Amino acid sequence: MSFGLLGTVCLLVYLVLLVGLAEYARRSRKDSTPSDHFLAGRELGFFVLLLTLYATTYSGNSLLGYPGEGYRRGYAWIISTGMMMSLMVGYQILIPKLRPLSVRENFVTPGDWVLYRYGKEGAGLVLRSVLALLMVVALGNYLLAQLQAMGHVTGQVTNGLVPYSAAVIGLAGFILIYETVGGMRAVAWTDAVQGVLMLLGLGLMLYWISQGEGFSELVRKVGNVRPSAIAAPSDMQRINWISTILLVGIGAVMYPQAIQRIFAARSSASLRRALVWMGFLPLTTTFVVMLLGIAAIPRFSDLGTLEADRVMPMLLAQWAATGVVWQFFAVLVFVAALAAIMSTADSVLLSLGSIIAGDVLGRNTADPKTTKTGKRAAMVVMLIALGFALFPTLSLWRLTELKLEILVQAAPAFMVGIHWKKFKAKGALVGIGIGVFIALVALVLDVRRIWGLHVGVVAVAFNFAFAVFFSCILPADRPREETP
Amino acid sequence: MKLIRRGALIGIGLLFIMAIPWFWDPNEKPEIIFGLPDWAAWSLLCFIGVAVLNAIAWTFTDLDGDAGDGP
Repeated sequence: MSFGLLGTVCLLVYLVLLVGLAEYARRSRKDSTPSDHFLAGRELGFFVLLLTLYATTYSGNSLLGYPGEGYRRGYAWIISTGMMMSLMVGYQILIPKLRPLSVRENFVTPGDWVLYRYGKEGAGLVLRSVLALLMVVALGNYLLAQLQAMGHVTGQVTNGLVPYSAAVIGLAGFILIYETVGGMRAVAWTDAVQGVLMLLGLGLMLYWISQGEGFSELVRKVGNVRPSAIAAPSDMQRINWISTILLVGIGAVMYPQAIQRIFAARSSASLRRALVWMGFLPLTTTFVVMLLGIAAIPRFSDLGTLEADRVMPMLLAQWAATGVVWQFFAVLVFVAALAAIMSTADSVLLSLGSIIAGDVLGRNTADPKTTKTGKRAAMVVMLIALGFALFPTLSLWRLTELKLEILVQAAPAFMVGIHWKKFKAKGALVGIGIGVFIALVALVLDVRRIWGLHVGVVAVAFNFAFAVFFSCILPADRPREETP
Repeated sequence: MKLIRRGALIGIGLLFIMAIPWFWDPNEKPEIIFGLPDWAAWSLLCFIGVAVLNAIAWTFTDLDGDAGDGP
């Protein structure tokens, strides 16, 4: 059987499995409330919670963009392992206070907390809409990155039998169907399958690249081809490391799809165990993925910026050519990569649907009609993202940076607001205005770094400073309404 | 419990700072340790430390505490 045909068959088997899971999820639903559809009835146990958090956090960017970045930067990309760990530290600021409140107040969207914290009228209401818009823009960008990655991987796994545009459109439709049918249950269960596939696939890839010469020889070979790839980071790169840790540690904590999984956990014990294990997963994921990108340096020289995002599929194609068994494993890894991408795309889409329905359109998140509105919103967002995905112009890592630079502007309202009583909605709005303005001006002028720091990090520093200053001098927000 | 959690979080902060290879010269050819350039092996070691302290910190984090009225 040819590689393309084997790939197509495995892909079809995988998609049929997803349909089965979605149907099972549909039958398992208890009612049509937003809580049941968007949060799986708040019943996610440790195993599914861990794997859904894992599959959602590690995405097409991780499986395609990060090897590409490893190829471009060399061993300096080891910071990717640290940056994913910084995310867990960022959660330490938010979750211990947010989780008990979410259980008591039945939050469905991040905006529910915003209204609870800052009040349901006036500046609190405006702040919820502004934060929701930030999240929608950032997540839309994230979804776009996933769709692009799906197109690249499918083209490779089927050896061109399914072209880029057909793959993007077909799989996007597929995600839309199972997400609409099964909601968070379908998404979390498929995430669990996808998470296992990812771990298995990366393990196999690590085994393959460790065969033969070993990792020490790899360092020597890379050093011969491109000495800068094994050199210690320069002063400017060190600053960039700090900036990357801050950007991800603060920005990625704001992923609404992850926040909603915190709401969806069955118990605090399950959540705690999942977060303990999540801290170790960068070592088995981002670190391995970096090594894959580096292993591509001596094999494929002089790839362009966008071409470098394809080093993973290129490595797999090379691996598949070494024998029939390896061909099967290579296909398995391809499907795992596709699984990683789809799992993030479906989580993002589900989250976008709930945020648009609840936080942007202001529908009641306890009303079953909101579920329908959320499904329709997800459909519209997917169509818009598809339009952009068919004409890719940016690297996957650049799309990730852009997403984080926008999303990080939401951080002070959540991370400071949850700890500091005097932090005000009006202050947060001023801060966001300043932060977004700086980020947008930099985007228009194509400025990506200021003194080696990501623009988003500089912008959020101003955001934070202005938000705190105005919170100190502005009059108090309206008092919070008592909850029943 | 709180003391252990705080200690772990401070340790994580220190390890993140230590993970940045401040004392390696970018113009010098690195030694190879554990199949990695020496500075990368050092960073990886620090990140493993972060993962361990993260596990300790979450183990001693109270997620069922009284939410009160929030901040």
